[in-house]
Amino acid sequence: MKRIAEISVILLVALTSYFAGSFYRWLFGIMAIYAIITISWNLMKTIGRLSMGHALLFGLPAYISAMGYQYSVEASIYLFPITIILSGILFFVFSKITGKTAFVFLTFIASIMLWILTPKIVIEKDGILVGGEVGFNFFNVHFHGIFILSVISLIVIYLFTAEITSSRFGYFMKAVGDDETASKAVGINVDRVKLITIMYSSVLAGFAGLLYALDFGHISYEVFSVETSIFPFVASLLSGGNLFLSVLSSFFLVLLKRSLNSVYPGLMDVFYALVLVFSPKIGGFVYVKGKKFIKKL
Amino acid sequence: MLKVKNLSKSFNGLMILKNINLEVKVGEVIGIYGPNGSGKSTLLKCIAGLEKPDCGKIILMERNLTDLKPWEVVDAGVVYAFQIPRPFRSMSFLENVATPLMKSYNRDKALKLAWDILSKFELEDLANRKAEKLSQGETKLLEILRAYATNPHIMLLDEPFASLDMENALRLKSKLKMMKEEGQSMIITTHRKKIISDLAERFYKLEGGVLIAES
Repeated sequence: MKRIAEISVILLVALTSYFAGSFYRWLFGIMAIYAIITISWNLMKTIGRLSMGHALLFGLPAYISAMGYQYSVEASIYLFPITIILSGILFFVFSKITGKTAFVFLTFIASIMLWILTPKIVIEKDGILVGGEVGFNFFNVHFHGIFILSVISLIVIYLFTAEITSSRFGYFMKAVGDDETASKAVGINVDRVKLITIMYSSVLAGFAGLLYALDFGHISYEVFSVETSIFPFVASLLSGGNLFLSVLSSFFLVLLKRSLNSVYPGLMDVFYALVLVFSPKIGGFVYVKGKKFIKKL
Repeated sequence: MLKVKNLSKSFNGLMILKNINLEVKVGEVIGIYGPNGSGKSTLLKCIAGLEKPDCGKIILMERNLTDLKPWEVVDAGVVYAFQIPRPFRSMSFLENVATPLMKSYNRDKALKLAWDILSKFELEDLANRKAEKLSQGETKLLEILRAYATNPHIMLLDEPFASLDMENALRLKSKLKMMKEEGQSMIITTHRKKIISDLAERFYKLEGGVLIAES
């Protein structure tokens, strides 16, 4: 019953967007994409790893795929899953070689490195240099198709993730997130739990990046921006880590960004900065009072 | 059942354990006592696979556990309970005990079996209490029951009575006696021999990295 109610709310938002006009149909696509990023981020948080480099998982597969697209459609299709797997393995290696604190910084640095380096990547296509700061063209799907794809994707991903996190594997994830050493001591294969979770998170984030690239028909170094990495952290903080509320908080943040940046460009960055500065207080409020409120519901 | 042969362990050039030899039979409870810093925890962690010994072997029922990962050691039937309990804080007492059971059973069955364990030890009232809200004594009970839930051949209990008041120590001891009566093999470390004198059948003293069997 609870899941049906949650899906109904998501569909209500989608349908409202649909009937509100073409701009809002397109905007829902963006909202769904960022909600998927947040779901992906939350998975990693469940195993105790806060990623500040989710822009890498989000942008790299689509970026590499777009580079391949300059040569052939087949190259584009093959490169996408390969890059997802390699990105996931990279994050798993990070989780093996670092503790929880260093993981935050290492993922952040990796993401920033891409943001700095990708504008310098140019390739030659038919004697013309493409890429650089302009980025690469990609397949383009009509916004109507993106809307349908994003609604279906978000609902399927939401339901599947909710099932996993409430299953016994979800308990293993929470145990690893709470205490890796204690998890090992009671027989949980910590490496396997981390690998599966990170790979699944990588798939979701990479898929969100693909939708993003398909929506715009183009991808550039902007996908590796710090904002893409901060967004899921803020969305999760405002939702207290609850899966359904993190979808709604993602919707809210996308709408807020549109509104604030239309008042003054970059105002949303001020909002992010304030949230980050006050995050311990916000987290304390949401996690304590917010959880009590949700329990009463 | 469990044989530790010529086990040595050093940290940063300092020899903590020197040529340790130890045997535990089926259903036996062994006590190891010694002063703080004598290497009791290190010995148990080496057996549990949480520390790698420099040399030596750990054999359980003819199977060499020495190079196994910690979760493989648990699968083989050896489980370690920490001196300072490490509960899964986001879970309740019941969920903590159920989590190891979920390796073999689905979620609902594991929760049911965990409830049966709590009922056996008359701890149902703690079932829904969040781990972070438990008292010190209750957290100790959680640590031991969670280890017990793995259905081990042998439990390694690292100073289970440390930091407990008399009431909680007696409560814990009564649960360990119940486990002993079921035939559960245990190695219990302590720095106070007296407290486990009615639990353990044999004692070893660990001092200066050397394990000496008491006659």
